[in-house]
Amino acid sequence: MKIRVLKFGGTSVRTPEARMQAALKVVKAKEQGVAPVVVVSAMGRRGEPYATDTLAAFLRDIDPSVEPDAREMDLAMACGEVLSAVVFSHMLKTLGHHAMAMRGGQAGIRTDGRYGDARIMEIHPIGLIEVIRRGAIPVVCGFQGVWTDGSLPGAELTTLGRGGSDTTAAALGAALNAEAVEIYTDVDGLKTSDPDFVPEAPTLASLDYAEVAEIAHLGAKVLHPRAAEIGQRFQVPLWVKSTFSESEGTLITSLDPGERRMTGVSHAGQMVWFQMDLSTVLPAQRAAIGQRIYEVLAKYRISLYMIDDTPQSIGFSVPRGQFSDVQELFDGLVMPMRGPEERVYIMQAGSQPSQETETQIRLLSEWAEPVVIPIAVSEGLTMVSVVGRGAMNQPGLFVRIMTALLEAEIPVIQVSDSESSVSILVPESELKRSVKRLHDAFELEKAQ
Amino acid sequence: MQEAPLAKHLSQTSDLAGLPSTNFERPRGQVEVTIASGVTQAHLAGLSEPITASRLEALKRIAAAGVSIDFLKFTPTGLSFVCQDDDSAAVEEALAGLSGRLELQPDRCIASIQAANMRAEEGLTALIISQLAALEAQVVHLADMHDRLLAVTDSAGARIIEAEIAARVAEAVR
Repeated sequence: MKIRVLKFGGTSVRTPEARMQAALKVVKAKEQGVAPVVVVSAMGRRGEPYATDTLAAFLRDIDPSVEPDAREMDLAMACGEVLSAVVFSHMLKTLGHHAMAMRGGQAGIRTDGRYGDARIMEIHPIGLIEVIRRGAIPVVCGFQGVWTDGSLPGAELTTLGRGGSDTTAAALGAALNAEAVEIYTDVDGLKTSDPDFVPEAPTLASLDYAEVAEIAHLGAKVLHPRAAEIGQRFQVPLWVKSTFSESEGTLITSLDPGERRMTGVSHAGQMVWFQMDLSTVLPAQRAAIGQRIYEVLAKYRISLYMIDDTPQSIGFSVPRGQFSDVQELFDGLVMPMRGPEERVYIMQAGSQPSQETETQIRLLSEWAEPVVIPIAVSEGLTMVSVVGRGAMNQPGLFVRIMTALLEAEIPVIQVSDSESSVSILVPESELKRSVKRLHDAFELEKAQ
Repeated sequence: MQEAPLAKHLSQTSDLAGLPSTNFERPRGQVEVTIASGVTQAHLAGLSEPITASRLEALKRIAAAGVSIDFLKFTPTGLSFVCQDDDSAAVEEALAGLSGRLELQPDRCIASIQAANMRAEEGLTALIISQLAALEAQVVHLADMHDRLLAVTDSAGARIIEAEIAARVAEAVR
């Protein structure tokens, strides 16, 4: 019997009406002769009663100064999916279909031991297969699995981090050798751009796994890249469809590598650009200084975009939410260098030293004159990306992008490119115009 | 014959040896390296103001010569990029007469260091670069993607990266 996995996100199970629409999709699949396996997210989105963030807040609000235990936070957060699965299972029963709610562990999902951000290591689908064999529709909690190290009886529940339910669905699809995994959301499929900025952005009929992963990492939030990676690894066809319409949706699969095209324009959120001027650093000490900078960024788990690393400078952008962390980490950071020519470097963010940096310089001056490494900080930026497949290796691509923006007097702060995308850092105030200009420049309204 | 209770199949800690299972997401910090050779690193500095117009002029000339470039970056006085070795002469000819100084470093390699969902793992990109910086490989340029880091280096550096980076990253992640 063919198996099809259907995953319903928060907006698809948020209200009784939405859940009914979702349930009817499942019933339809069964009527088509496949064995549906349902994966559900928690009901609703941020701020709503049973959403994951709301459940997490229950613990945090007890005393914001005390960080909840990670293991217990997972137990709290997982309640959302458990409730959703039970409710959805019961709804299917009211429609006359035998269904069974299952926790991630019962579905055979085994993870590593990292609470809050676990990776799926194995799936033993024996329980799922048996439920299907007995004629029931499994309704599996997304976003969770189990882990055991043998130290406690039973297994520990773990949550899978961002994109966990998409990941659950893709992994189950691979484990069950499903004919397809359908990701249901509140849009008809993947569009060439954000319809809030480009209302005429068409829905794409198909995408390659790598395109989807790149688009998702560059801002679009329809399918999590982890799910795309699993789909690609195991060649599981993924569909993105709407719970609330009958549109065909977007198929994500392996496409002909020889076919070139531009796929879409995505945009990330608020970004901040840091440019560290290393021209005062001795060449012999450049590598060590760079290493220390990246070690600090790694240690404090800073996400980096558009890295520009040259002998004279290190530049990168970070999400706005991490700006103050980076500023605090590096402003006033002292880096003593030993060797044939000993030096003490001190980093200074902004044109004027902060009180802390001034104090550091004054104290250090008793031993040696510290060398200042200036850091220029540019706030109020955002990243717009043109994503394509096989289309990046064409002469004139950058000219086309730059011309489209510069003709509209949109300043380009920095660029970065990869095998499947070109990203441009622009002022946040120019986000909408940038997206529209690039969408038009590549005639994406004609994309299919 | 009475069927075994379903609970038996749903047990979380039952012995599942021999039953179908599949390894999924790659462990954190597991990287793979591929090397592509035959590229030239180009630096164009000292362009005349307004620099935006000068950069665009340079890019137009390169495009008109039929050359595809990668790793484009804006520098304070110009730009830098990578092209195929075979195209370096065309680049030099295309930019002749333009303000600025062109420096070409041929026979470079691109080391592609891949880790699943690198960007989604906060700090992983920085960790990999810090390990890269610890090697005795001269990396002259970096580019980042959702699942890989691309480093421009010479052939000796490429050999070092290929031989050492995976183990270093795995150790650093542990």
